[in-house]
Amino acid sequence: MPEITLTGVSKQFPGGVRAVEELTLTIPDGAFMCLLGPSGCGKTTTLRMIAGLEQPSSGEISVGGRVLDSVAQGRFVPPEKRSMGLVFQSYALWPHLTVEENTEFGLTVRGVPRAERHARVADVLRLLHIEQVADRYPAQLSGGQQQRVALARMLAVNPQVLLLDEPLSNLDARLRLEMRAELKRIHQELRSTIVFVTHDQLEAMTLGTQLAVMNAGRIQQIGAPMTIYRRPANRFVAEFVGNPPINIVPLRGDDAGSLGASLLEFARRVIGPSADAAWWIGIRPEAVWLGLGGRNGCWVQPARIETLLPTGSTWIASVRVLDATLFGVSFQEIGAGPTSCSVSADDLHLFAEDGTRLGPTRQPPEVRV
Amino acid sequence: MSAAVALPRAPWRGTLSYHLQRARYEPTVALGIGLSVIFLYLVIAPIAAMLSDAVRVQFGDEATIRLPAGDFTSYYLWRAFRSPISKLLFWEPLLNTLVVAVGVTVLALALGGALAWLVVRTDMPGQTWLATVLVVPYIMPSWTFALAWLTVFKNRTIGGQVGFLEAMGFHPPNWLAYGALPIVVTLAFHYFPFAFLLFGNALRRFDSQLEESARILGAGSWTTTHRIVVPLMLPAVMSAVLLTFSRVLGTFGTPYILGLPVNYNVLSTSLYQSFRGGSTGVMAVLSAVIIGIGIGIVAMDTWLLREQQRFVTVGSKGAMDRRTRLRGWRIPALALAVTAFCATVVVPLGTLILSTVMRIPGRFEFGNFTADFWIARRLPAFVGYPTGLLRGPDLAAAAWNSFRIVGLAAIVCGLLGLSVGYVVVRMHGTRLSFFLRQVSFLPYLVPGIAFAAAYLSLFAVRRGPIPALYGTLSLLVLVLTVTYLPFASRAGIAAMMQLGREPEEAAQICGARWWQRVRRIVVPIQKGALTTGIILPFIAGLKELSVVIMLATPGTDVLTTLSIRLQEYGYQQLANAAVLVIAALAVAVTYLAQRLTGSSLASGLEG
Repeated sequence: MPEITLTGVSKQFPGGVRAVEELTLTIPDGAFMCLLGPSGCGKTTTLRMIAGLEQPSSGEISVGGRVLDSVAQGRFVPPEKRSMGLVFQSYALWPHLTVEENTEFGLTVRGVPRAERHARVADVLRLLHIEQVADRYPAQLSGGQQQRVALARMLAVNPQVLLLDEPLSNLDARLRLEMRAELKRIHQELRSTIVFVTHDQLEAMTLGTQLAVMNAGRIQQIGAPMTIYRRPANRFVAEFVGNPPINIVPLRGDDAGSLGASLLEFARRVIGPSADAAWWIGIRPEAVWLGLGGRNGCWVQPARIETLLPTGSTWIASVRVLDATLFGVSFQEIGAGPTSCSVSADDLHLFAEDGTRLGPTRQPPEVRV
Repeated sequence: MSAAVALPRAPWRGTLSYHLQRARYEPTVALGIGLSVIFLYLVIAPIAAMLSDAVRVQFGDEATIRLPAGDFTSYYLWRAFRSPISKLLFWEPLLNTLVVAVGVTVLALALGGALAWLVVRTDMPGQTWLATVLVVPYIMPSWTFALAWLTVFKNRTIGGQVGFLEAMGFHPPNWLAYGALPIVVTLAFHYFPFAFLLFGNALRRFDSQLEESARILGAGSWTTTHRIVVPLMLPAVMSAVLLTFSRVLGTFGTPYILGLPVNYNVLSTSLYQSFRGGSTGVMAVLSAVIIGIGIGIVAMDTWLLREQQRFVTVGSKGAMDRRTRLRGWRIPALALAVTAFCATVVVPLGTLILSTVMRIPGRFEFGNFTADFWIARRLPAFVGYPTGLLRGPDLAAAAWNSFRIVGLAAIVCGLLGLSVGYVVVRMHGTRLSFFLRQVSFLPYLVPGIAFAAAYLSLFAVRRGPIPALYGTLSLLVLVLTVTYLPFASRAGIAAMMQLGREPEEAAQICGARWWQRVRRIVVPIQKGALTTGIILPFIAGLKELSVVIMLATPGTDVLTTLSIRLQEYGYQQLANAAVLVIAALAVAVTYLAQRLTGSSLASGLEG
């Protein structure tokens, strides 16, 4: 089964826009790889290059050891010969064909005999629970059904690789949750390699076995979802992944009594002099502990809860500490007013001037320039 | 492909091989290049040939200019702009053109604008019906009104049969019968629906929340109109002004019919006279001037549209019905609208019909009525057309030509338009896409008669492997195709833009090759757009005169040129009957097309 490798892939659009720069990425066989990033970061372009709908300006793309696209080698395999599946954000269903005909299309153009075609279509429609709308046209379907048809159409031809371009972004919250579970089930059942593009970090965290966070055409970090959450490689990843977003406290140019100065002093004590290289400290809201008093080995400061935003299961609090405001998350009901605020040394994320991670660990951090 | 990895090779060979493989699977680029070549030949080359004619010695002029044919000369420029007869050839026609264009624009806009407001923004009764019938004058050939005018006002000073008034004992003065005044009035009658549609759409799209916000902030009705509505409508108004102006500029039929008797020439008729007189060089100069003015106007319009985009007034909810209550003025308003309809449709058509069943015009006696002009086996006095119109072979032949030529041109046009749309959208952002979009729009800038002149320049003689096409039906098909290309390609681009690339890409991912995608996905989805892209040029082509008048010969007459030829012979009744046939066909085809496509073609006529 296929492993997808991109080696030094760059894409420059006519007009000079550089969408992807020197991207190198290996997507292991059977992985559910999420490409995560803000809009315009090049994730959709990367997906379209894997599909063959865009051509890289340089670099090489291969699947299962077979080179699909390489300008240098003079190799190009067109999309129709790559045996992949791609689900578009807009679904791109063919309005003049019924659900059944939409699903059957890929088999028809491959010259699969009629009986076999029908059996396969029936299987796929059943797998996605849309067999009862087989005779309808796309315009007569709900958003969730259209989404399933778009998926069924691609699964019918049994692709080695399934590419999904923000397929859930047009669905409402409940349907999205259902389809996430469905996608995970399909991935486990079919054992195909899936590349999933999204800007929704929650979707990426919940679905992916692997995450690749992208920004401005470059990969920022590749890894398992929890690794990325716990050890973000740089400030961008730390800020992009996580909701509510991470607190970033600047350490430079502040007076003695400021939050930054207090945190830096604490970091220097627990981590050592290497903390001096840090320009920012990041603290996840759930790591801001409220009202628990001074725990051992923690940074503690008196604080004041200014506003509370109950979400139902949690309470998000904006907390005034020294000269700044932090966001904290509490899993128990709390009230506004004076409290104390503490952070464990393990929950500090130190970032250098260029945003690179300096580490939350007590070990001497590996400084990268 | 196995050879591609065999040996390390020079980088450019890898790149070449890469692009060749892409081209094999993706013929869009090839299609785009093919279309570009076709358009270079059919759009750019004629204009270039014409411009070159303007500054080169033409055959037959060697003795006058004392230079061999083909040499560079400024003689034609001198003749058109500075010579003693330049006044007759150019300056007077230019002045007349401006007078006519300004007059028609003002009149058409006033009439169309007022009617649009009544129909869209008031509670006048009968609005649905009026919205449809007020477009009819625009569907009829433009010179229908000119013939009707002559039928009533023609006086005895120019000979031939006189009009109704003269026959009844009145003597209409020349200024009333011919020249500027009737040209302006009759053209305004034809063009006011254009302003009516443009204004109507602008008013309909106008977000009434903008108006209401002003009212809520305390602005009175006058302040709101003055400070909010007028400034926001201004770009639409200017656009209507410029587009009407540019259309009038290229109109041929009406000024020809109503101006000729008193030698009142506009640029288009002066150009035609030069063509008739065989002075190709001067004709080329005049065409260049007309094209220059046309391009100038559209450039201004484009600039204005860009200005308009500064005001983003997209409000989906805003299309609420906020109508002015006319109260006691409802019936007078309706009377005004119905009068406009009568004056521009009922009266002209009634006059024409009446004229074709009267032996002697204007004599309302029972014995004077006859169906001879339609169905007689013999009309003794009419040399060359000795039978009733429906009986003789000429109408049938011209109608057959019209359907053949226009039908073929419309089909080619629709297919080209969709292909242009396909390439432009698929290759969005490339130079090829940009070039195709621009070049397929170019004929829009060139008034019909100037374009015909350009085609004469290119195709009158044999050039390379292309034989002289003058006098053939193919030339008419070509010129009509290119004339309506802007409409078809704009429709094609809009349709493909709306569809986007993704449905086709989905098919590609599913394993469909290019021709499978085109045949099974793109064309079936775009069936409706393709139909519209064929029908609109067909309707417009049926009544096209200015483009075909110089290219049709007696052997290749179409309906419109037949009507003008009959008029030139002085066979008023037959000419009137012929134009009635065209008008009836145009209205019938429009109606059928609306029923067929289920859409309002009126919006498409706006073009």
